[in-house]
Amino acid sequence: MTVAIVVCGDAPTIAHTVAGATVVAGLCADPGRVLSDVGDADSIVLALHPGEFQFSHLQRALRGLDIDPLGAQIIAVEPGADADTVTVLLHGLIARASAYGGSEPEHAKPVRSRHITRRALLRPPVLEYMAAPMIAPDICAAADGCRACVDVCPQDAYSWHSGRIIFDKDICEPCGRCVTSCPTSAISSPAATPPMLEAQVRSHIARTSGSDGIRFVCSRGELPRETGWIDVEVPCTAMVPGTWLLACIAMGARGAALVACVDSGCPLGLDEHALGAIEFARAILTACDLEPDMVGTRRGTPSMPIASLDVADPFAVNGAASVLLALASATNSLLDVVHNASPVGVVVLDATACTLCAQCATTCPTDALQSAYDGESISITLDAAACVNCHQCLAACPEFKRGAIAVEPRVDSDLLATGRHTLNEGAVLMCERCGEPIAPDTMMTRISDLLGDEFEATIGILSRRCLDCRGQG
Amino acid sequence: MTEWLDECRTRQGLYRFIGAAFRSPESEHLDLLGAAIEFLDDRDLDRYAYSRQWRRLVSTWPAEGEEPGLAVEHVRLFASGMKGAAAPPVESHYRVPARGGGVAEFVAGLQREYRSMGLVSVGLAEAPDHVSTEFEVMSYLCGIEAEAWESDQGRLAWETLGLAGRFLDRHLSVWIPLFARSIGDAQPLTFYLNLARLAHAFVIHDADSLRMLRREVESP
Repeated sequence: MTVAIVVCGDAPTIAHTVAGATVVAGLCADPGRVLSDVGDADSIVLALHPGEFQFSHLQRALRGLDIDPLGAQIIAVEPGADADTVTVLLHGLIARASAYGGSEPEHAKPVRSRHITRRALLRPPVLEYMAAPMIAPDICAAADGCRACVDVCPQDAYSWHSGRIIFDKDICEPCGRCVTSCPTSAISSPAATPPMLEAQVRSHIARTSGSDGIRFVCSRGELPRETGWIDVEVPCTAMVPGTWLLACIAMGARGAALVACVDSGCPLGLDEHALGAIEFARAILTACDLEPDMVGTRRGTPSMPIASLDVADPFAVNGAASVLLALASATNSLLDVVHNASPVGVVVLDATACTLCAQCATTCPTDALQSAYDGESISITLDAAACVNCHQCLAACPEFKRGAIAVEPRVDSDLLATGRHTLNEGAVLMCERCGEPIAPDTMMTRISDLLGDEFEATIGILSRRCLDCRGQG
Repeated sequence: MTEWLDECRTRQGLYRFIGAAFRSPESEHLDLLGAAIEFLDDRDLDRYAYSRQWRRLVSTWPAEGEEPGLAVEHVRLFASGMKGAAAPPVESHYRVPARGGGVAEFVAGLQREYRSMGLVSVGLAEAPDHVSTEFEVMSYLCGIEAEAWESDQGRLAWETLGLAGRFLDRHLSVWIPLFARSIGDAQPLTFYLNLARLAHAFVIHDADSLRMLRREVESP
């Protein structure tokens, strides 16, 4: 990926600090000027002046260069901005642009900046495009019953019909919650993918040697920069799980903050999610004997960064467990933290109510829950490190109301490290005629209880013969 | 070019162009399309999200003498053979199971839709659900809309825009992405890969834009 760096001409001092940057005078006013200056770059980082450029015209110019505008990274440079900070931010955006994975036509959502009348149709403004989520149907687990995106979307843009997710792009106000909540990572939004954000955060930490904190900020807001904090823009801070904040700490940042729209109020009504992520991260830090104020909504009490830990894919949906385990291991702590905002969970089966029907395992989108049949008995097993606390198993369980299954929003470092273990197991009834399995013994007992003595003969047949042999002599 | 009327004409031209490009690549046919590129290139397509796909198609437009190779590829991709086409260019293939009479029912339903738009399929070279036919229908609707705007018939223009939007939502925006993916999976010549990508990007963009317009613009 070749990334071009173009700086609007009025800020040449910044350009000198970034190798390969091109200065273009009047770029903000006339983005078409970049045409002759970026060569054959695949992606671009632009340093522009706030309020002096029109995004739609900029996007048009980039398309003319065969550069995907949805991957363009823009930093608004205020007059008199600290050149060192801007340089660090620019390098972070270069890393982010380098990790850009491209977009599909479905990712572009056209928007107009104002409501238009029919008369205004005669002179429509140039369209602007924002990045919207898209579902990869071959990865989506909706056919197995998963509807995690439906559950988390604040706009009701997702619905589930006959094993398919229907997404309404028109309703969607891209916040990224679906992206970070999809258990199978089937939903993508090109503007802020986990690999892009990880690359940016790693760059920031490397550039500042951990002397600054990482602050996730909402791209809708216009937050003034604060000394000691390096900003990472996300579509909405509600998309950031607590483990991302912890990942920043684990990677060597001095602190991590999530600036939810507390003062102005989140336009999507998601402030609580951001605050929950912070509380969760603080609870984990406390359990690790680290200073909880390393994480907050604003800059907290500065702490010394812990050594940079080797954490693979810390921002991936299934990367939460590795972040938590890395922190627990580095601080020699045993974690047992229960918090509603936990991005990992612990499934609990009540053997007195569970019939071993294995619907939970069939539905589990991450295969954290699995069922296994060994010829005599069936078991349900859990790999806690793969559980993303999505609760899809609860919706699938036919005995949920009897308390057969529960998901605790718990971080248990022992369980995370244990790997796969058995939650429930039991014998399977065999067909007296062909020897094939009929059903778990517990399931037949449950059916018998439901039908009562009146159907004793029927139960007898069901218990002895499989479906294929019931009509045979 | 900023007027919606011009946008209508651009959309009309693009639908006709893409639909025609999926037809058999005879040299005269390609020459005509090549001439249309110049007209469309003048329409400031960089304003739209599909312009990158447009540029790529234009940059790989077949040179003289490439027609025989393209013709072979056209048959492999779109015409049936012993193993069937790699990417059948008909909507029914992607929407209904091949057996059980569903295809006939589907195509008959489509023809009823055409009749409701004032179109009768007489002597069509392709099936009613062929990519070229459906793109031509969209081109026709854009033309009607443009003429209505030109003659100051706002209500007719608005109704036609709604008709086109619904046709896109019900048909092209559902199956063209699947069709484009089939073409991509078949490892086609660059020309057909770029044509498929343009068709995909343009249809999705047009469907999104029309839905946005129908939602935001005050109807007469």
